[in-house]
Amino acid sequence: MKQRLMATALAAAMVAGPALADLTIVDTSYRTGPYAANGIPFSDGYQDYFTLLSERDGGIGGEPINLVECETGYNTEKGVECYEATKGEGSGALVYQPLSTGITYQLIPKVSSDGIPLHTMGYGRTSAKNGAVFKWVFNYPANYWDGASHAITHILNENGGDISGRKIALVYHNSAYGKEPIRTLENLAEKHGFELMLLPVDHPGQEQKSQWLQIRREKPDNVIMWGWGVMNQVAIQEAVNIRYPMDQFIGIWWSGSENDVKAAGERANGYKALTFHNLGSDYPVYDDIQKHVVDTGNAAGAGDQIGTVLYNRGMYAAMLAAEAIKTAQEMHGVSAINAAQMRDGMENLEMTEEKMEKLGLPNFGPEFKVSCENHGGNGFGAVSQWDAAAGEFTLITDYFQSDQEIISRLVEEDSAQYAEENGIEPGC
Amino acid sequence: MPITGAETAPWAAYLFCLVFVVASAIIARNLTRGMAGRKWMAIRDMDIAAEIIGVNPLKAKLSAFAVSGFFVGISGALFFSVYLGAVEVGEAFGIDKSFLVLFMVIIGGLGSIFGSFAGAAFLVLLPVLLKNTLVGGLGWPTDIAAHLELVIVGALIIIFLVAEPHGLAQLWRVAKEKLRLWPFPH
Repeated sequence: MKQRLMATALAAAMVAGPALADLTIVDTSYRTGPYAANGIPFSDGYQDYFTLLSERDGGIGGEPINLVECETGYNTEKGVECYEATKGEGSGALVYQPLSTGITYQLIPKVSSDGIPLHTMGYGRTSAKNGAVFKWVFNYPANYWDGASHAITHILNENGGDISGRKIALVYHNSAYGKEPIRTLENLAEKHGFELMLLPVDHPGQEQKSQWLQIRREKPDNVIMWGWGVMNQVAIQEAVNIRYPMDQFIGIWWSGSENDVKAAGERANGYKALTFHNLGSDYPVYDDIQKHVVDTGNAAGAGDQIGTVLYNRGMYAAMLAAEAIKTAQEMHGVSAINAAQMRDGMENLEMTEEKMEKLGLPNFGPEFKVSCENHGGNGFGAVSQWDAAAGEFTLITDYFQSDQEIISRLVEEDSAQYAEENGIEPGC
Repeated sequence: MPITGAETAPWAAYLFCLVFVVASAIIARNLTRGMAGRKWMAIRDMDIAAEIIGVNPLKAKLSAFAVSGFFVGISGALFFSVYLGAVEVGEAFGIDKSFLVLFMVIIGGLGSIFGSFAGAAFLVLLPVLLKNTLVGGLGWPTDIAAHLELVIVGALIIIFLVAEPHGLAQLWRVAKEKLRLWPFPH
């Protein structure tokens, strides 16, 4: 027993060893378990972008980047352990992007008391959009309630603006993540007069026979999916098996990557998924990634995910973090910023077309400006469709805005409730 | 002094749980030494023989179930309220958690209270040690370390079940006896 304790202490001392670099970024990734198929490309993109900045520019604003990876397995407990273990790394972690709504819910009170910003891009707690209550949490450029509204708006547009009496099913991961859009969909159902049918799928989601049998029996006009990891592949395969019309099947942005549809083969053709950024690898930044990251042998993971939907999203997340760091450096006039300064940088982040073009990502994402009142961007998204023959997702709509009237009301209600429960005095 | 929520100091949460652990351990240890515990062990080893010497199997099995439910209830409540702070039913109390507890008991040693503690410490500390040495010390990729951890824990469970069904507790007992006689075993 004693020996084991000593070995642990020794190992702990070894960990404290690594160099004290200045901008510490933690990548809480998951490369193992049932969610790895989606976790790997995101993490590769996230790491490769920071590697690019290190190799090409020598860091951000002249300050080197210390990238720490921690494996969470999409498990909330492990995610919190990762947070506790890495928050003091180097001179302190600057920002956390857990890529898990479950972990996000656990971390919100922790980051608020530790003073470390949390960026949940397109996931997490939607009402964190209200920065007056959630001072340390950001979820720009889009959130789940936006996504729910995008899906319904798309169905509205397809059906000439009238969907009353339609039956729409939500197939969702039975966790904090999958339950997030229900409230908005219920409100939208009331507004537009459609019937909502809820079909939960338990973790990890490789057993969905009964849910799809129910869909086959009740024949909903549309199916919306909030899935992640192995649940996506299985759901799309099941939809193919019951010959559900794929163009009436819409996934949230986390259910729309190549790894999700390829398993179902040709017949998955026409499957739709939402997105809040552009797709493909036809951007100048990819030439730089090829030159500075891939060719130098520094690519994260196996290096075979470059240009996929989730790789792009990981890279987008890293890019937004890097831009926030730059904003913070300009605001405070120091290059070695701390977590509190990082928060200021995030709160004053402005993404313009000009800025993205300079980064080699023209037209990649929507323009938005973060402010204290609005931590969530403007809620623009688009619909993409899977082309099985070409093997890629392509955008089939322009970017459109979500139903802000309903969403801002819900955000207001939910954040006010959170503020009251936790004794937070809202204010900017 | 808060013991739940984000502001909790680690030592406060630890001491709070320690009180419950010590109390439960004392109760459990005394149960296994007393009549109730001996009845359970008799049923576990051979239920027909136990019935013949006068143990009521229905009573013994039901009481074992109820008492273990009591202890697991305490630990579940502490786990969710003090350690996690919030709970997502399918995730916090999934099948993995049940297996983990089972493996703690198997590795620690069936039928011993000390073994349960040794097994729990082993299964909690081993992944931390592996992660710290492989990822932190040797700089391995995190996914290989995570997979290797599964392999090692799985192998240990098989080895313990085959080679030493009484687990760490038995190893400890044997070591103590040997050391008491050492260096003149005869």
